[in-house]
Amino acid sequence: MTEPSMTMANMAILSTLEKLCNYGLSLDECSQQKIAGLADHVFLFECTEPSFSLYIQAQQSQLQLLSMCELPVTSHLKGSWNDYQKLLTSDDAASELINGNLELHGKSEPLIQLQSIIKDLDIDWEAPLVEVLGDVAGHQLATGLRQGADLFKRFSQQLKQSASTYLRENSHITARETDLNEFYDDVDTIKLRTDRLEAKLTMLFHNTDN
Amino acid sequence: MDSNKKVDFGYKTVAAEDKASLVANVFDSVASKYDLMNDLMSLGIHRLWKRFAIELTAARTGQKILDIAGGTGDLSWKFSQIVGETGEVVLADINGPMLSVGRDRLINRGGHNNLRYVQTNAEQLAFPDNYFDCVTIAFGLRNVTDKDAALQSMLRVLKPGGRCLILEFSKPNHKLLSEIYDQYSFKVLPKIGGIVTKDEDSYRYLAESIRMHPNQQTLKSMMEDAGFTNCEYFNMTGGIVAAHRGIKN
Repeated sequence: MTEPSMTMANMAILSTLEKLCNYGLSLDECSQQKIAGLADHVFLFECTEPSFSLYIQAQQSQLQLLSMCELPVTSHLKGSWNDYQKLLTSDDAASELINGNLELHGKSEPLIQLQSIIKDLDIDWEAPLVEVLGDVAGHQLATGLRQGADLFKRFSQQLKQSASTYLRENSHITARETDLNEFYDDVDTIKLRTDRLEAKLTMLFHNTDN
Repeated sequence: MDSNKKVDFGYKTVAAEDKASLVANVFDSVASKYDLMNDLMSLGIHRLWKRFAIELTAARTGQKILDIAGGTGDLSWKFSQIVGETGEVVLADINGPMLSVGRDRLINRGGHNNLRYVQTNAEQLAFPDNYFDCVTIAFGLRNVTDKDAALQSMLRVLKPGGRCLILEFSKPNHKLLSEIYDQYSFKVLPKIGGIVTKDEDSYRYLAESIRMHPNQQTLKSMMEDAGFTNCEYFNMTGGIVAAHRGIKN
């Protein structure tokens, strides 16, 4: 006898999440088209803390969230919840996959595409609002929400930029990216020279012993 | 079929040739409110059972899938999304009114042009040999008169390597749960049926037919006898429902 790998409660959570995801996608046609481009790719997300596994399969313009999947997995990611959060919010998913703590098996490209689709999801709330509130009120509220979201986005971008400039230029707490890169290059050069020197010394000791 | 052969119809024993029409009467009477009743009876959990069953089929784009006793088309709808334009899903049911409700519902939902509707008997499936990648029967096998014939017919239409998935009520594996379930099935369920569909007897038959249905291990053995390999079953909600899976060699 085999017991299901997940309880019905977990299955209910999965089902609700899937409905929410696909509802969100249905309100952003552009993302739906991008998801269609990932059709038949299977992603396995293995979370170590808390411990759970989730398969996501792209189908036509929808995502299917599964507790088990016997199809070949395209990309398998393993890491903690925090690592996944970092990946999800990262502007450079490729860099996060290389430098972050997540362990990747399989292809990275479809995974980067999926991350970008989720991150860039631009939901148009007007249609559901109009359906509930009517044409005029729905449109007004949607416009207000859209403007509010734009304002918040601009404000947070500006805040991020200003904070970074302040820390770098005024308080000199952080270094410029170019300065950092130069520093890393110097470290690399020193490391190479040290390695060469060590090799020469080893050779010298070897010759002296003989 | 042997005209003297007797089979169970709930707790009653009837002539084998009469069972199909008696079952048909039950479903004729509940067809229009079938989905509502399923939700009320299972508190919506039947959707999760079906979801898990779909996961077990490992269906994929381009496959041909037969959904026997598909009723109002819950599984067929999901399969049609999975197999896409290049695949094919056949919603089959012996009962005309149930099939009609399912067909109308699926047409109204739109979606892909990959759904077909066929009224057929599970014991003599009207499809060629080795045609389907997957055959499912959800909450239908217990109503079939000759279960062995149905299993053999399902095996015949499956391609080698194809999967058969049977989702059906089964035997709870905890004594307390079993007792609560019995009370619910025989006292509460027919009352709900009486209120919603004005047909208490049909829901009494439902509870009785579940008790007369083979348990997990017996059904697994029946699948093996029919010729399926790698047979296994998955209990859900404490064994109230079990999903059996077998593969055609």
